[in-house]
Amino acid sequence: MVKFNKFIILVLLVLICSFVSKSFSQENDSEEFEQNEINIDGGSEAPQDTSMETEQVKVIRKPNNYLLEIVFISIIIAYAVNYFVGQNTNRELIKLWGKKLQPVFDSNFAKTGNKGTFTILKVNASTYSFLCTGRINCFGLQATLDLKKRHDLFSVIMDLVGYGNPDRMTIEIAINKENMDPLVFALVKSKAIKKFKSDNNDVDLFCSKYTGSGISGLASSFGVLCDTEVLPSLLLKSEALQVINQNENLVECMHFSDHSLINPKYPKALRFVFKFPKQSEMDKLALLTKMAIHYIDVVANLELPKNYKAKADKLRDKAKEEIEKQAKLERQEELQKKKYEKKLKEKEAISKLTPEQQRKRDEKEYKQQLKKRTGAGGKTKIVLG
Amino acid sequence: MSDPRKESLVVSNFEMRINTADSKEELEYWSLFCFVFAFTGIIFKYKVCLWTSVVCCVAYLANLKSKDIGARQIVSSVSLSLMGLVMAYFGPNANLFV
Repeated sequence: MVKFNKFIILVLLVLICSFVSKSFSQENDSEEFEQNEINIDGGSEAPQDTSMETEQVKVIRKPNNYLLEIVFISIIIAYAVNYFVGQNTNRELIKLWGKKLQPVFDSNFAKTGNKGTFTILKVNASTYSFLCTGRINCFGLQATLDLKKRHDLFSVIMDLVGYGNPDRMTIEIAINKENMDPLVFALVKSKAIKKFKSDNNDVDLFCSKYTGSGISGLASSFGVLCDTEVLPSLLLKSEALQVINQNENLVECMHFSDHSLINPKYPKALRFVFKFPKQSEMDKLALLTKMAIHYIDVVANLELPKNYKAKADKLRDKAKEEIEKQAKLERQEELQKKKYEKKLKEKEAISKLTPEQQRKRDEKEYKQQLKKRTGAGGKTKIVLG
Repeated sequence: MSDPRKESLVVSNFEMRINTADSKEELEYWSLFCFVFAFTGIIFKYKVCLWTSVVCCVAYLANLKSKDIGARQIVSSVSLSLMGLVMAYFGPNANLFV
């Protein structure tokens, strides 16, 4: 439904425009009509003047008919102006982000940006992407900056009404440690747990909501999902908890998984989603980014206690078995479907045969059945008595 | 703490996220609306629809991604909406348009 909000605004705008222009033109029509009447009354003595009158009417009508065009052209101009202003605002925000976070990335990755220098890629006017690689324990990091669509007039209107999305930064990290312990862990806002579960298949498969007392210091607005109960106490140490609690309104979710679906090439991945703070508080985002990078080493070097590790492995084996079972069932269903279709086709072919052909076919079938009954050797069993 | 950077671990052409389906869908809606309004405008002779298609076309162009700019679709939507406008104001049956 959210997707269509913009179009609803557009349709409303169009309806208002057409209504206004119509009502204006009707008013002018009635005026013209009155004028016409007056002219006709006055001009009863001279019937040759009618052509002049119609010309007059045309001249009067023309400027009023341009209202629709003026309204739409002003919308287009407003859109264009807003496009450049919004794009510029977003660019300034990205520049500020780059300025604050460049030292963090430079001190952790050998290659920041695409060309060796610190470059942020523009995907479109409101989405930017930043890549960096060359660090121990990970293949690389991608930061995607989804800003408000300030370049789009309809999105700006939506934002004013209160339906807009906030500026967001998503950090995705691909872990390269092959023998990493199995884990699926997520820290999400309590309200969004249901949606998060439906969006992330791995969480839905392996995780349940943590209700233990291992993370007593965590703010109440967060909920924790994990596959083994030991994970929260291992991953949410007091320092990290402090940072998360201090920036409670900025942290949207943290998701660590060894079955990530972000990119099938990199199944072991970490994902963080943070909201943008005010421009004066950009240091908070730098702090959160530092925390995200710190988690690369924490997750890569995490060692689960033996019994928990066995439990996690068991969960994965079970899931694997279930997937295989489902695949087998699907294959069987497909085979049955094919068989059924084949039978249907045969039936159709029989119905199309002429009676003579049908008789011959029946005979053939009868002979075949007889052969089957008698067996390969041609011996018949006769039961007497 | 030791330096975590390592030149030997640089992955060439590293890319984590490939799919960005949401924004693509929205783009398709804009172009679809552009076509629908342009056609209704031309067939039923409504100037309001033609102008709306132009607005949709502008929104479509503004939301394009630098990666997936396809010349064919852009040209078709722009030309259709402009064609409607030209028909409504300079065409032989311009006086029929309401």
